[in-house]
Amino acid sequence: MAKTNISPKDVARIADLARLELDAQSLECYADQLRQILKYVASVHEVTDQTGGDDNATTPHHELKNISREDGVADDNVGTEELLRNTPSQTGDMISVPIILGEKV
Amino acid sequence: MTSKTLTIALAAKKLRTKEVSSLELTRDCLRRVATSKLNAFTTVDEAGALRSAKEADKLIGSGKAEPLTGIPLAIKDVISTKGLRTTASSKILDNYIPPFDATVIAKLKAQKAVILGKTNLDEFAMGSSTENSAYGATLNPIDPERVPGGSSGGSAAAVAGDLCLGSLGSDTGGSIRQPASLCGLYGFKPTYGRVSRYGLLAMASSLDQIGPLSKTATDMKVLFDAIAGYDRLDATSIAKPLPKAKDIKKLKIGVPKEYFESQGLSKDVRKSVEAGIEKLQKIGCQIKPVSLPTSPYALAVYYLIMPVEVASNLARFDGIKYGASTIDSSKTLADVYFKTRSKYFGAEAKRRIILGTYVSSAGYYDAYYGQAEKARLVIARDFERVFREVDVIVGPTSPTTAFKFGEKADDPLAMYLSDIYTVPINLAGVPSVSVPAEPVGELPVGMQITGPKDADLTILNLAVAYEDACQKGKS
Repeated sequence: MAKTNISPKDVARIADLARLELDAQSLECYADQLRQILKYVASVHEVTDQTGGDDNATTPHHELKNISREDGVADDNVGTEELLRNTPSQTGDMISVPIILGEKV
Repeated sequence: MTSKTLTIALAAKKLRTKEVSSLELTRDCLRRVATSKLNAFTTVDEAGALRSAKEADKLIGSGKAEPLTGIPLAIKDVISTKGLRTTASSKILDNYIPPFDATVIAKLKAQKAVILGKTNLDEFAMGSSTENSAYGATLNPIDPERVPGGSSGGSAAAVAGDLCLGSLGSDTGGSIRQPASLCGLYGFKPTYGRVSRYGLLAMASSLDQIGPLSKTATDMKVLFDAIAGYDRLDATSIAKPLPKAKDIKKLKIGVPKEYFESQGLSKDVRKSVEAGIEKLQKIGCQIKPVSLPTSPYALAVYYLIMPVEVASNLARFDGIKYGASTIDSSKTLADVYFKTRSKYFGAEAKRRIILGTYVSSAGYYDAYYGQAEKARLVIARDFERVFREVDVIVGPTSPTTAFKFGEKADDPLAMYLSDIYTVPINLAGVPSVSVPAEPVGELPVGMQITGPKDADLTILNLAVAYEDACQKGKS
């Protein structure tokens, strides 16, 4: 069983992975709420004890199979100009972004 | 002639006999929306609605009207509408204008239905009260001190407040059925894969489904007929046609004992739902006690699977491709990601992203998310087993009537528990309707009727028969 005593430091690490910045107060608050939620959801193990070790068990949509469609050009595509109308920053018909190389991500 | 007393079916009849025009109906709804204090809409499309109404009147004039031609509807603001702002009630999409229509919208437009505007919701459909909206909470038309439910609270309030004749919502863990229950409406979550999700802003893709909210069971059927069907643009869409409905009078109805043993169920709601079950018995259905032993665990499973999918789906909001962005004031790419997401996502969205990231991160995946996926299958099998004994199961939609604003806003777990009866259905992917039972005082109560996969038409017909039985009881 994984630990449920999640600390503000744990939340900070997870927030970093999720690309979110949280202040000290939010870290405390989320840690407290996550502790309660994780304590509640721990009961999920009582259900999986009944699977009898069925490791292939996944979603109830497990009967779904990969499907493919004809490799053709659809006539209902959205054009470049229309797509770029919602873009926060662009140069010509390209999306522009700040510098990527050399930064710590 | 006002839209207030109209249902979709009645309005369609009056449109055909020229007793009323779509333009008159639409203007009447728009007037009502403009003076409404419910905060049901995030965006009203007056010009677009009037234009559609005129086109609808032409179509009706030429004798080619379809069931929804000229009918004023409202759409949850998490469904893409071409050229019409779609926000998911989030600041991160405050100015987002979709360049395409969701498949359900294209289908409504093909019938020349009138889209009045977009309705309020909990941000990205995360919540049970509409209090998580970045544009303020929606009020319950029956008691404005109480929540309309959520996340499709705006869609429910718009119908119950007579601002439109019907609406579309989306349901990931009860977001159509619970607001329908709290506002005294009919609401339907179809079988997973029966209504295209193309153009629905994804919350938890393996659980999300679009469906109708309406004043009557017949209207619910008309709306479902309009939006259902195979769509090549949704990889999980089912191509096989829906099987025919079973004979309602021969249905065996299961009543899961666990639904009535849960501690959070209010005594009044219980009594009201039991009276509803008696009505089903009077229709001719046979009632049988059944057991769904895994149902008390469903909420725990849901709150592991859903946040993982949320964290994954909301990763696309990065301030680069569309939506609000801090790109003008950020020096590096990572800075754009962090600043944009931190500034524009609301508290509940952040909470679920963090929870989902935590339970799927290295070292915790097996203990949490992996276990939940396995448990999900056990729950689905539990339903399959019960549906070998009975045709449908019945119980409460929500454990309580509409609660007051702020009552659960600071306690996420208490809020999550209001979906205890609705979430197992999404985990199993089966269809489910909420129908109005006897109210407690003024406050509406919902009864939930659930069928096996692809029994959509059977449970819709049962809802219609139930509604007829209730009408007869009154007259």
